[in-house]
Amino acid sequence: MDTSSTEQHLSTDLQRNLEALTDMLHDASDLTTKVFLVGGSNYKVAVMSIEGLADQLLVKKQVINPIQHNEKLYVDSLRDPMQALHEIENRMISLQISTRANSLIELHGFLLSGQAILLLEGVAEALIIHSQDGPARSIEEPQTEALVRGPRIGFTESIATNISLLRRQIKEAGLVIKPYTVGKRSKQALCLLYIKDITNSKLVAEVERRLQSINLDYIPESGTIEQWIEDSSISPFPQILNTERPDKVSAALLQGKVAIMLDGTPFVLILPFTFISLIHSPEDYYERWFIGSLIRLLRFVAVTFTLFLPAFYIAILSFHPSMIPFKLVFSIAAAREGVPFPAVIEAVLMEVTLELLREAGIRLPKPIGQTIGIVGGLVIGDAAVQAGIVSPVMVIIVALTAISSFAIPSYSAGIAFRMLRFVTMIAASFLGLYGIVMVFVMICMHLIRLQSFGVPYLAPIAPSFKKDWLDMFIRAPVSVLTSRPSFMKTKDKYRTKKR
Amino acid sequence: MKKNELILDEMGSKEIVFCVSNMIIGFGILTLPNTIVRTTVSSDGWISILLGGGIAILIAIIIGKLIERFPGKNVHAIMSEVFNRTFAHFFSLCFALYYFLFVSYQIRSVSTITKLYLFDNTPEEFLGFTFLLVLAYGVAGSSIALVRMNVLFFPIVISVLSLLLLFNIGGFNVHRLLPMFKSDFTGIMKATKETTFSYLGVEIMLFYNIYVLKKQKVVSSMVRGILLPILFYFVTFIFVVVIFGTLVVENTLYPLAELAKEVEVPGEIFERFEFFFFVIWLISLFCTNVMALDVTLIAIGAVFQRLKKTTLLVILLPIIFIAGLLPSSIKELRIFSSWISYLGIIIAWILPALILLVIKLKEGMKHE
Amino acid sequence: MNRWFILLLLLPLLLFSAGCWDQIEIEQRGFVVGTALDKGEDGKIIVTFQLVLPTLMQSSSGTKAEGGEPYINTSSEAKTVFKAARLLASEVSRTPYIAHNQMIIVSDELASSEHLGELLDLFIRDPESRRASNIMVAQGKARDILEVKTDMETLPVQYILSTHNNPEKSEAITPPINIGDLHQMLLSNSSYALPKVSRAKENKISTSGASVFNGKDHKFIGHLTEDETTGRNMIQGTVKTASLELEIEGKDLVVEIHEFHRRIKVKTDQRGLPLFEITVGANGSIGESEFDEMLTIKEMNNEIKRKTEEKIKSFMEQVIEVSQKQFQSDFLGFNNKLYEQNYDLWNTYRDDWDRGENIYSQCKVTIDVKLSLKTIGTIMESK
Repeated sequence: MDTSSTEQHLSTDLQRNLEALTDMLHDASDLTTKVFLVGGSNYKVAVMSIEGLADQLLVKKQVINPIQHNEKLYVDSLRDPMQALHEIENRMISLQISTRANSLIELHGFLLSGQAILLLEGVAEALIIHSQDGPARSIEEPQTEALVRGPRIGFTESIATNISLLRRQIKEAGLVIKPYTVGKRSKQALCLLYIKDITNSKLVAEVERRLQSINLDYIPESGTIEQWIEDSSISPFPQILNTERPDKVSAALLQGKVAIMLDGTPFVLILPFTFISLIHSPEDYYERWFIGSLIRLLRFVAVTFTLFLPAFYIAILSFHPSMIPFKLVFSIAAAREGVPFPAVIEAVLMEVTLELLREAGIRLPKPIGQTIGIVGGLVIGDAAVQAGIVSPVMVIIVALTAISSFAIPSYSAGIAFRMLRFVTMIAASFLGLYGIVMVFVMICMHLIRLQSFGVPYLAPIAPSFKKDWLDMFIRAPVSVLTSRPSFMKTKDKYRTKKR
Repeated sequence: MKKNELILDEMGSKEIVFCVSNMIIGFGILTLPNTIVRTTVSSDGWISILLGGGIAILIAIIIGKLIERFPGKNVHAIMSEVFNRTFAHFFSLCFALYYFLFVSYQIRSVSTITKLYLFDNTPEEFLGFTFLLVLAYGVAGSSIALVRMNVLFFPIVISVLSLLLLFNIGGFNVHRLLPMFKSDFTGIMKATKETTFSYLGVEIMLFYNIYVLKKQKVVSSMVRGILLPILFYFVTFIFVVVIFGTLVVENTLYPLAELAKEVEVPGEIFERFEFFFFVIWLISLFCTNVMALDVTLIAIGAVFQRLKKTTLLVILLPIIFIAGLLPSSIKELRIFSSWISYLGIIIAWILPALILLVIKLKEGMKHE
Repeated sequence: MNRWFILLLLLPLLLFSAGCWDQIEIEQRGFVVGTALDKGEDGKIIVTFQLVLPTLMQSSSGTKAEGGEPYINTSSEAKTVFKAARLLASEVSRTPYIAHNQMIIVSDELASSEHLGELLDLFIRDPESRRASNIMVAQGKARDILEVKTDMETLPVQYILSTHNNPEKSEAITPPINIGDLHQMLLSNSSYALPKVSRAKENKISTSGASVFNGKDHKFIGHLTEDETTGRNMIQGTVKTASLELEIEGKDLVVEIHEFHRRIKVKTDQRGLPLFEITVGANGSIGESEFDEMLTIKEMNNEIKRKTEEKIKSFMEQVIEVSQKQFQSDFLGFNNKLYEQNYDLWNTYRDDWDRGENIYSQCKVTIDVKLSLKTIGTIMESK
């Protein structure tokens, strides 16, 4: 809401300025104003800041104190207020002064960013003093991305902290951190990060273009940005990765990717993103290559299970029981005796129940959350079997599917697979294995067509880049992984010298 | 949003190889041993397979040389350049007709086989319809995606095929290869005709040349693309004959499916390997058909430039489906399929050869 | 506009989804694990299905079911097998499902009056049926075989199967034949032999022996005794191990054969007819003996060898005699050997091999056996 008030700029009258600024902020209760005299003179000075955004102690110590207790007498001898301001700026205040401003709207913005404003009687300009601080969370390991081995640090909500964490990992001058302001009303700070000599400039240009098209009031979380700039919002698959871990971000930056940080959320976006990254976790690199490869393969199996296991169950039981080995067929058939529902309904019922349990478990505080898992899993499942609503085999299948979906490192991708699971189940219920294959083909086609910022989603499988296969389903020894991913078309191709 | 391409839409040699191979390996391999064995004695069919493969390689070289000269252009553009537009239109329409009939036939066959082996009561039409819809989904997008799909799926298909053959080694009875070289010449020639038909598919490059941007060795990739199917036809044929004996092969419509039925999965994890084999096979058939359908659309689109792809698709789909349903018995189906094959050979193999000849002659005349 | 049009086209798809045609819940299927075909009155066929009751089948943990046997044998009678199966379906509450059918037993009486291929056409043609189902011919009523109760296995069919699947342990058991193999044999018009099963006393069955079928009309002609079956297995080369009982100087001796290979060469004799030369090589050792001292056995080595070779030769000669004179059918596979090794000769005689002029009966077969006898076991003396 642009004020149509006449007073757009500061005047030389201190009182009027103070009133104008207080008015603009609607007499906010956290707006602190200190009016005082410059030590050793009669100049009236006002320092305004917003409690909670600006570090009050800092302001007191480094701004108010030195000015108040200034003993140099020459200030008074200078008749010109501008000179006085100059003296204050250069000799008394020890904090960084970013700029001077006289537009009320600008001042308003600075105040809300946590800066302190210094107004001098007789000068129609204000000093903007850097004093941002505020309550912040301490650095702790991210909950959703915990590793067994790896640094136990995670991003916090303050963008300055996050940038500092990243700088600690990549101490390179080429790390470009480009600031943006997004959100018409929220004016949040956003940073675009990339490494100049590595990242492809076309990629950076495209990301910048998309960022500039953001036109929103308020951006609550980086997810909003993600949905705004991604290639396809219809696709169930995420095209941008979000993470709380600095080591993931620095690894990505060194691969030639681009990161986006938003003030107010610890989740940093990394793009472009390919399908293979769904099954990658930083731990693969920290452990030895053999273990890393096997675990990656295991995760791949987990992805297959998550997508297709219930569908296979339905298809084989209802359409092709001839596939079940002779000795197993009877136990399964016996288990299903007395179950009133067809396999489809049974499967859907159990899956929906599981999703409900999972959703409930997220919101509950930690101790209760654990119990719900056990209660839900064991008791409800067991009771359902005893009551004859589902068969024990179904419980096993559903449990296995759930466990597999938890093994997928990326939470957003896990959700995508969980949704698609229902699609395959429905297809299986109509046309058995044929239905599953058709859906599989459709999913593959969708994935092939999907792009993330110009990189095909299924690179390096299709189109195929043989060199990148070393880091795809397996993880080759460190000495072999010498080049950056070729589908990123980076400027600097090699990580290390080839041995 | 404009598409920002970090990776170009192009086909490298690997894409060409997989594209050609996957296009060729389709329905033919299922029925091929049966048709060959009818006119040859015992295991001599391998001669026809190799002979047919030789002819296919020849054609591949010809087509390859033709499109090598015009990187990035499909055959319609080439024809317009070399001859005139009307001729190019006529050729494209004939080509479109060939692939159009090809897709109808394949959909019909796919629904027949799927019903036969996977289902019992589901009507064939429904299966065909579903297949058609998935094809439509595949075609409604960029063609390069289809090419990449081959790269994705072809290894899967080949591994399952190899698994199938591997699991059947137990029944390998070398004696059934004997006697050798007892067939007469006419028999082998008749069989060669059939095998040559089953190599149809290499002409897909005539249209997908639009993605071959750099001047590169197209010919060697295409030849490599044919070598794989030759190898597979050969090995499959030998296996089928060795495990079943020619007598049974002569009387089984789909010997490869019967081979799949024979498999006993080690450890008895599941029985009835043929279901598993079939669904993977469906993927290969899908790739073949989606490319054929795509080329049909491209070919017609080259003639009627102002027609949008989606409109064309909506018009074509019902016609394809109904055309596939027209033949009413297996015999009619066979006749249908041989017509299509003849049409394909003339339009897609012989004509380009003639065109190359004309080009070479023109060049020769220029030099004088 | 186009989007809506396509959506409109997709609507009819919903109509199709009104029925999932092939979806049958697994508990509604009646699993047929064994089939028996018997001769009924007026040229009808009695079909017996052995259906499993899954809830009564106990897995490895757990005691025997209190509810009774976990299977039911139901029969019905009709002119064709197909019709009879359908009749069964109308009497049993579950849809008969033959995809797990382990074996098909045909009674010899039925097999001698009907073309085997016509009898089993349903099983060969139906894609639902299992290609690996075993076929056996029953001496007597096939239905009775399915009734045999045993404590070791839960289902009679399992018992029959596991007994039958012991060709390594006994040389008188014909190797299992399944539907797939049968299909080949039916098409080839050459004679063959199927495994025989008969009811022995007290709830036991015997799977040794073979049943011969003529390739001309695929009808059952007769059974083979155990020795004849052994001979047949030897000629076909399917013997893996064998134990032969000999009598030397009034005492019994058992020679155990560990390796057995045979080669058949086809030559032409003066009459222009094929001449078959069988060469057998075998490795054996003494299994059990009534002799006292090791020395005696060593001296008698040659004698033992000779007698064993003779025994082997006699098995084969016996069965050749039976096939040539008694049955006049080549169920020993000589036809195939002729096809493989001398195609032109085979072509000349292909229509008259074991029918018509019965060329086969006139062919000569020479047998040459070489046995190498190894050590005599680990015991020097047993007395």
